[in-house]
Amino acid sequence: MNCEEAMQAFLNARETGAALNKAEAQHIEKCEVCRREIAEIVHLFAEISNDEVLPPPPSIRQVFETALANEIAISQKTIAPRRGIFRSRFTTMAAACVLLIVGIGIGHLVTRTRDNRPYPEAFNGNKPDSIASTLYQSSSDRIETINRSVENNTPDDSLLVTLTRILANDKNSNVRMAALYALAKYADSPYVHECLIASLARETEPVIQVLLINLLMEKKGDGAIDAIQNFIKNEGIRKEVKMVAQTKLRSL
Amino acid sequence: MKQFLLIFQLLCFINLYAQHFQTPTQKVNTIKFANVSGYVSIEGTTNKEISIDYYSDDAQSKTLPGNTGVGLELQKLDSAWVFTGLLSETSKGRYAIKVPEKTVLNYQSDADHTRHVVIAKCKGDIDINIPKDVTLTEVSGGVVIQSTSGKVTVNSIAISKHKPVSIITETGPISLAIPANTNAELKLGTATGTVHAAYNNEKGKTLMNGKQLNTKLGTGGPQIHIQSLSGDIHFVQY
Repeated sequence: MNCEEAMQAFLNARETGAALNKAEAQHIEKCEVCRREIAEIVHLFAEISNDEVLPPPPSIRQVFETALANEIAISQKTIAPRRGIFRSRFTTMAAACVLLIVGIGIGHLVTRTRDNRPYPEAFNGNKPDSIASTLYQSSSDRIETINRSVENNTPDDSLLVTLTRILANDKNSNVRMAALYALAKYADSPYVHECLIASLARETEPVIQVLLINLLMEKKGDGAIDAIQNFIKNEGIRKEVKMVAQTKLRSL
Repeated sequence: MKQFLLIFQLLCFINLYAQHFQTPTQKVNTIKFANVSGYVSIEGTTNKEISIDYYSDDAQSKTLPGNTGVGLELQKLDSAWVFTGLLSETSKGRYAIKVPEKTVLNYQSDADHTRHVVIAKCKGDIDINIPKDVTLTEVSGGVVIQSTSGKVTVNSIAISKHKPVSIITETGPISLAIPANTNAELKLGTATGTVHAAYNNEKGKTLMNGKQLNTKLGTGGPQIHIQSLSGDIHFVQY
């Protein structure tokens, strides 16, 4: 029983209401990665059922606030002389109301435009979280967001979870590669290490398989060598990938 | 005089049929091409319209399928347009396509539909996934390319701040040429091929041959990720 099978069993059980069998239940009880992922899923479902309205992503908020600040600065410049002429608070209040309505309208429009865009494949139809929601449309956009997300070198748990999800699920190999490079910065984290091992078993792109092998062998964390030894027993993998893995193992 | 006679004779022997499609593209920010057959060239222009010319020496190409009349079906989805190829994989015709230069381009082809795609003078993001050859010239947006066995050549690319360059091939070689003053984080690697690189670092012009190159160009910044399984990688700063 591996993590993927256990998660599939959990999702089936959740959907059908059936109980998990002993092996599945035991795996989930012992495996921290699965428990975390299940907690994520349960939390996600709870959020979906509680609230259908998505908050705008931080980047949109920032764009909106900047635009609003600019609007205010411009309107202050244009309104100020009028106050001098009319000396009426009514004009100021009316302008403020119009500005507020326009601002809300722009914000609503921008948010709605993004919400209408297809969610990234990385989430398999699930609603995205705050970081994931900025990953939309083109592969280039998704890679750009991944690269930016790790620029400050202070990731929180949700960022690592999102990156590991992208590595596991995004249909575009280039996006998965970007997620792997981003995760490589935090490969010393036990959670990331576990996820990298799990990814090796399910990754189908030979280039990323090689990158995973290189990274796991570089870090030499718990279970990495066993995972690679198991991996090269798989008959479906390319001979070049097998050769890289064997060379790395021999060099130990 | 002999040259003119030769060209005239060639024109007499070769019946080159051409079909044309043209339409304005107001408010279109993404254009997707799927399974377009033959040889394809896409050029960015400052015009707000898309024009497609199809050239073939096949007499059947006089009447091409699709709502564009050039063997492509156009589907309009809000701000994205999708052109889907309707010609067979064996088609050897040539498409010359012009698009607004800032449009995001998404080019996908499975099997052997597209034999070679050339994209030039585009400023929007470019996302390509085809099994055959890809050539990019004078582009400046984000570049994401995946090609299984094709040769990928990227010339004269202006690396934009935050815009990624990501290229993956399995067996095909990759060539990338960027300006000398580019700032970027470079990660090149090939499992069984060779990386040949000529780049600038703090030591000056540096030459390298090996399997991997991870280095910072200038002050760093935009990410350039290039990986191949068995293809060679040629990287040069000019």
